[in-house]
Amino acid sequence: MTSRHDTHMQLPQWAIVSPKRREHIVRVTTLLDGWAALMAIEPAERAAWHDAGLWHDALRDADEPLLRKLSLDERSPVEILHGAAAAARLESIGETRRDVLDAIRWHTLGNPDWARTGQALFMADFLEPGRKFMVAERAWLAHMVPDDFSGVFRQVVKVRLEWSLREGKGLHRETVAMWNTVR
Amino acid sequence: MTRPRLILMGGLLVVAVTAGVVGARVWYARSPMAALGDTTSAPQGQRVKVEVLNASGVSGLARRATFLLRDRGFDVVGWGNDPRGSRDETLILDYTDKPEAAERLARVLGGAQVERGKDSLDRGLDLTVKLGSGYRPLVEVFHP
Repeated sequence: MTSRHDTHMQLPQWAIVSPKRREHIVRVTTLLDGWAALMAIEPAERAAWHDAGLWHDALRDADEPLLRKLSLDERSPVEILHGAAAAARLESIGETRRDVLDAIRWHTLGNPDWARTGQALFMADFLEPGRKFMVAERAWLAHMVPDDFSGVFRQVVKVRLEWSLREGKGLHRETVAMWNTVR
Repeated sequence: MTRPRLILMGGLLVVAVTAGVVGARVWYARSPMAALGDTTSAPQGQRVKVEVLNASGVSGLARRATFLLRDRGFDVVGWGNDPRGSRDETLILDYTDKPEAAERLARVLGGAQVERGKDSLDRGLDLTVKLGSGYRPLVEVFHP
């Protein structure tokens, strides 16, 4: 029997995710649902946040040929293609909400032109409680989102940039542009 | 081979193996690998107030160690750079005679020298950590 919670968190049939990834997706979506409820946002935006959370990693465990084929990207590192690939798949089956598609497409890098849906997903992906580092700090930031959405968003962008620099990762143009809009 | 020689060689073998095991344990206890697999936390039911000072010369380490120590139940009440400059080995100053807390803190950090500190009641601290250049922070795995 399928419970209400199960259907609420049902991934699309074309999703390619491991059980652990599915747990991450549920945690991200639950966090977004919680913020949306506490912030009393409109039902349409609440649905957008939920769907962005549920679909953002739908192709996270797909193989490289499929990701490159869907994203039409032959050059970028494969780790950042799953968002663009999922957005392309959603568009091909009729999804038209721009904020949802942009949130999913850019969730690994960020985007300076995001609506609140993209910003909420970017925060939830980082702040979900399953990650093993900065546990107390991230829990506190997650708790603060309904009271200070833009303040926490700025902090999450900053921490993620610092992490990239510390780990010697490259900075993408979109990520830097996003920081310049919130700094 | 004579019996005394056999006994001597057997004894040497036991000494060599024991030394190897002890040496490996000491090396492991002081390495970042130990910290990676270690889940040591602050003593249950105790509030251990800690100050974290960066004496490593590497920017940002006090903040990273603060996040780690808070996750492990230590109450980090302040962090910053050590005004007394750099050092090689991480040092823990125990102001309020909390040897178990100090030892656990040393384990979380992958090894540290512990010394009794001068009274710090005016600042309300139990322990001060001075992170040395030998401190290796844990790798933070993140794949969005």
